[in-house]
Amino acid sequence: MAGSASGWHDRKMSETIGKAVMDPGIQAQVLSFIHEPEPTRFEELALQVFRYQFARVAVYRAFCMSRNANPSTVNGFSSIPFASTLAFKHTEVANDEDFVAASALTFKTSGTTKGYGSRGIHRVSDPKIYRASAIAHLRVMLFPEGRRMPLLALHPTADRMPESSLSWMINWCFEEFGAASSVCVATPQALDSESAVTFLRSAETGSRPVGLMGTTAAFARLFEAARERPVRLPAGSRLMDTGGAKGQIVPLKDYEVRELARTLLGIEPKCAINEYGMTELCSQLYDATSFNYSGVADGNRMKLAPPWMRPVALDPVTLRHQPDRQIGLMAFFDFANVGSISAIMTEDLGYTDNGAVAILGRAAASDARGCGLAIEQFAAEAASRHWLQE
Amino acid sequence: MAETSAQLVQAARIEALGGHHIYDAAARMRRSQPGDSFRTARLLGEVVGAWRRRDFAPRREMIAAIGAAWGYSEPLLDSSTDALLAPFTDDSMRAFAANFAVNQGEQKQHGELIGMVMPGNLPGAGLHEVILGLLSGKGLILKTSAAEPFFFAAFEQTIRQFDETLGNRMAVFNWDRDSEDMTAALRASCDWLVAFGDDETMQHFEAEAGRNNSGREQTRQFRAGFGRRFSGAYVGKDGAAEDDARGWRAVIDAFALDISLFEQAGCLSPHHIFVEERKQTVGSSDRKRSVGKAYNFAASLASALERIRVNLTPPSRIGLETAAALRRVRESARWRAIGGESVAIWEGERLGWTVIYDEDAIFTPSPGYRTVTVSSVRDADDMARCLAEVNGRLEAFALAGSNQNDVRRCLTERGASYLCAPGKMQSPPLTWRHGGGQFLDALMTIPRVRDE
Repeated sequence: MAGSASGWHDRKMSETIGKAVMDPGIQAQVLSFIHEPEPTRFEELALQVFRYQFARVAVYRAFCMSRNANPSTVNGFSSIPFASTLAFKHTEVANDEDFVAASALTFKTSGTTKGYGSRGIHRVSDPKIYRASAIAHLRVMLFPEGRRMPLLALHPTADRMPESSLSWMINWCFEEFGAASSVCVATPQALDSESAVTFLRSAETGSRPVGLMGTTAAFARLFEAARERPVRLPAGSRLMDTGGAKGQIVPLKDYEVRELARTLLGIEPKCAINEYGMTELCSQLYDATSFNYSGVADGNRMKLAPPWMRPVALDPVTLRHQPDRQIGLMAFFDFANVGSISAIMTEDLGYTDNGAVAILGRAAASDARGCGLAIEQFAAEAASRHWLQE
Repeated sequence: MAETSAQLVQAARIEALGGHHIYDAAARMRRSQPGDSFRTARLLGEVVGAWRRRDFAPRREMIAAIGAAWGYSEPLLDSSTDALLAPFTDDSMRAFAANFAVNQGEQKQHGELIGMVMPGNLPGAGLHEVILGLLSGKGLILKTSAAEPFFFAAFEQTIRQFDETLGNRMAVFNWDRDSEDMTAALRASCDWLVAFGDDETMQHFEAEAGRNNSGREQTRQFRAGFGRRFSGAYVGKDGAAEDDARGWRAVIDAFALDISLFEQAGCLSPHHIFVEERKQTVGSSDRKRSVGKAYNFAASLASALERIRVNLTPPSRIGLETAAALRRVRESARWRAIGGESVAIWEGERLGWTVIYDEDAIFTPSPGYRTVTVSSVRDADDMARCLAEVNGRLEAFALAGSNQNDVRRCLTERGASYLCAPGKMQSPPLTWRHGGGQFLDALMTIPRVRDE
């Protein structure tokens, strides 16, 4: 019968099937690729990663087998099955290899707006790969001149929000790119707009550029705080925002973020860099502008993935790879996900164009999720408390 | 020379370039007499009889036009059209016409004009209201949807060809939703409005009625709205027995047809099927474990949908957003199953059909395209719990099995307007209280004489 059942019966069956040959050095190969990318080796290494994850990640193996895919049938990159991000919400994506480091991290998605009852979980057993990936690409896309600068974080650092992957990225940014005067003005409950403005006014008086990092929702609140008396930050100041519309009642569009950054903070539009990332992926994409990429026009923004991450648009009907400039469900093969599942299909529509990516937005009506919820939930809660006190 | 559907649509669109065309049509209708309702029933019987023939040229052209525009297969559209037309028999229309057989003195009071804003979700949606409106002696001015401008343009042309007098009581136009002056002309020309659409459309019309009218006129102007409604099915304990192979297959095939017609796009298409079965208690816990009937039903339904797919082929194309929504439904079920939940999924190729068994699911709206959820319930009360989210928004339910008074009561209390046997969901009778009966009630009220 065409069409087949995939249920708990198949999961039990898959657990009895013998594992594929393991490659004990796969993490080292991935780390080496991150430090010294070899584009011509990408597909070869991708197949190795696939074979490794088929062997070591039970739920991915079950998924592949439901698609009649296994190391003997998957001979090319285009036949590697991509797992939906929903895998992290509904299953335990666990690698059964015995190398879990004491520094293993567990990241959680923000769940639904109704609460945290259905949060996705991504266990990163070897954070050094995640760190290497995050820092290497940030160095190119946000800190291309290679100098330290004061950083202002509008999202909690990892000590305050250890389950947030963005929090860890901010920690690492402070370590690699931040000057001693870097500061975080956010907790999971609140954004200290006053302290943020103090930081900005102090920076305004100097000549040293600064970097701002946070969710789009947090930037919306910063813009509100700066509206009465705009700031002119030193030339070369830059910002990174992420999260998009999540957590905002009236979401700021990307061009609005750039315009408000220009008028209220004095940050040039080419230095307002939007990040596309998610808890389920250890690597991130950033806007390519003349600030971080030569030969690009700033008008029509596309995003760049790092060399160890390949973006693909999938036809939602057939799940085949779309050619360039054909819209599909965005998927990514991320080597930095070597400890979990590298072939990840998102719920966002977009297209590729000569290696760059245009993200068009969430395809289906689905709950908002992401870091931005932390600030917006605070705002809603604060408003509620204020009303109760009156 | 017979005009093709595309030509008729073009004619309707050219006509709709000015509000004066609507005013002219309204004036023409008001000058004409409503006519004898039995005569109208007889004529409509002839029209529908012609449309029932699959080789009837206007029907073929309409189906070809919609197939080309929407990607639906012609066999699917033919079967769907057959189901759409099924209730409009000579006897049923005559019986309904008897409600409006009035003496000469009262006849003028029935010459009301109804403006109808038609839906675009499936061809012929709103046909009940159009035929009932004509049977009751009303004049009808239809605004068809940009998505589906074909059916009523062709149907009206057939009426006109069979009888010009009856044809003069109906006018079909097509204009963009943004042309507010056209909608204003429709509102100003007609005694009352009927609108089909999603909840946003209903809110728009209600807001417009509130802005433009007051008191007495507000009630006159916008009489009936058909917003988003949900349909489903219930299989009773004796509704389908696994050991009765022929009976089991007959019920399953009927459900598969209900799911497939119109690509599940209408308010009568089932989204969710509840299968009644005893759930066992394990040990001291109240954890319920299915005895398997619902799961087996789902598996059999999948086979039936695959069988149907061979003849009623799925669409050649699906919109990107819809495909993404269907993909999400599938991936969610797939990963929940891998995660060990009591969920299973069966899938046709290219998103052609999807059956999800989800043991404890509450009513789950479907994104369409033959996507259905099957779950297990103990009884009518258990089903009521599962219907809480769609309370008051039910439309049709197919019931398999006997002794279902509790189920029927439960469904009608929650707004279900049509209960039927499997396989009949797309063919409600003329007395169907669509959307709760607002239109029927408005139609059946003897109107006061219009102020001059």
